[in-house]
Amino acid sequence: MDIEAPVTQVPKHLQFRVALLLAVTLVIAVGFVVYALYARGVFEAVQRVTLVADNAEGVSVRMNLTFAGFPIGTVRRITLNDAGKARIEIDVPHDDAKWLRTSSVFTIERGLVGGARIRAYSGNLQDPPLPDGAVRPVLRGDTAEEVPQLVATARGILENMERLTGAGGSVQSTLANLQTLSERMAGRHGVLGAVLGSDEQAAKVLGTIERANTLLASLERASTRLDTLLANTDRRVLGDGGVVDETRKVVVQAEALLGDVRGSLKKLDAVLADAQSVGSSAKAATADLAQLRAEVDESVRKIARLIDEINRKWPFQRESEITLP
Amino acid sequence: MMATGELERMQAAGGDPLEREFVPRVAAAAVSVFSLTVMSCAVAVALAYTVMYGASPDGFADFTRVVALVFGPAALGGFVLKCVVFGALVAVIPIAAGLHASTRLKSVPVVVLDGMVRLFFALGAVELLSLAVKYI
Repeated sequence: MDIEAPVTQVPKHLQFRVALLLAVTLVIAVGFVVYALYARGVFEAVQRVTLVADNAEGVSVRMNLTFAGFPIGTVRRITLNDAGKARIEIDVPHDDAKWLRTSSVFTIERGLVGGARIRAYSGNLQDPPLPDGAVRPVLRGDTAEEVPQLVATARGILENMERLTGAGGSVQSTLANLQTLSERMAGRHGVLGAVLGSDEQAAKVLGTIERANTLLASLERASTRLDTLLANTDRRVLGDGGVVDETRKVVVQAEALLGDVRGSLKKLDAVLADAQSVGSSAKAATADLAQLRAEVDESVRKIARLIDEINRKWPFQRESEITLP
Repeated sequence: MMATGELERMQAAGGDPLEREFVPRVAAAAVSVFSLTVMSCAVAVALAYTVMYGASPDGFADFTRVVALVFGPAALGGFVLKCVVFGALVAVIPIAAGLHASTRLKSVPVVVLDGMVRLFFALGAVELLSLAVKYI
């Protein structure tokens, strides 16, 4: 190889390609670096919010501050202040700072799994905006802190269950009683024996039932006789020739008798008129009057007997007064 | 070139093989590895975005937030440093191995294999070192 030979010239088109490759490479590299810086908020105006918490466990740098599920800020720094409380410094871009108000509440929530979450709640977006550099307390809700209490409660429940299910426990005695019950149910008198406790008691109950059946049969016969009696009574009272029918006949007779009485009284009136007009023939009139009085007395006695008979046959009618005309 | 005696002749003629042959090759290899790394990284980032959000630009904010979480100053500096070291190793080790070749043509495959093995272990060592720095 001749060292004095001129260096081989690279073709123009190849030079262009190499230059293009280098340019694209540099543009991509620089562009990615700029993009990474942009992503980290280097070119973005932010405001600082400092949260003060008793315990910053689970909080880490670069963690998001979320509002309604959207990340609006990033934790930049976590330090301890002089009072021994954690200061969580959060950068919030100015564009997202509008969601934070003076009345906003900040919380740190930590579940059983996963890291902590910092959340902001703004009840009234009409309140004044949160100023730059504001320091706010943060509420902490830690599920893990409830685990010991939960374990203690669970242990108590398990101990109770162990006491219930252990030897001599309620469950054991209940099962034993259940077994006794099932054995009695499988016995001669079945469920009745199990319920009453022994076969003797069951036999007594069965005997009682048999006697009750006999009593019911007797009552049925008595009921039949009572039905017959009622039918006879009904026939005697309300049937043809019964009490009601006889009473109706007596009433008819009474009406006829009263007609006779009314006629006799009319005669009496006529006789009295004659007696009044004929004063001189008093003796003769007196003899006629005595006869007439005997007829009246006879009629009154008939009426009295008739009323007695009506009262006897119609016991509910107590008014025996007869109004004479 | 070593096996064919070109370097010896160049040296005997007063030429500087390091300047005429090695430096351009090392520089070209370093630039090539850097370009390949940048290109592959760009493709990987674009592919990751496409896989997660498709062609929609709506996921750009979330994606940017994840990029900010992943590429901190330390991660970005370490990444660039690792790429530079990889490029340098890929450029230097094979050429340095080639200098050990004798004038016999049969020694060429042995030297190439030796260079590949050394390059492999060097890259592995760099990777282990970077992991150690990151996690320890």
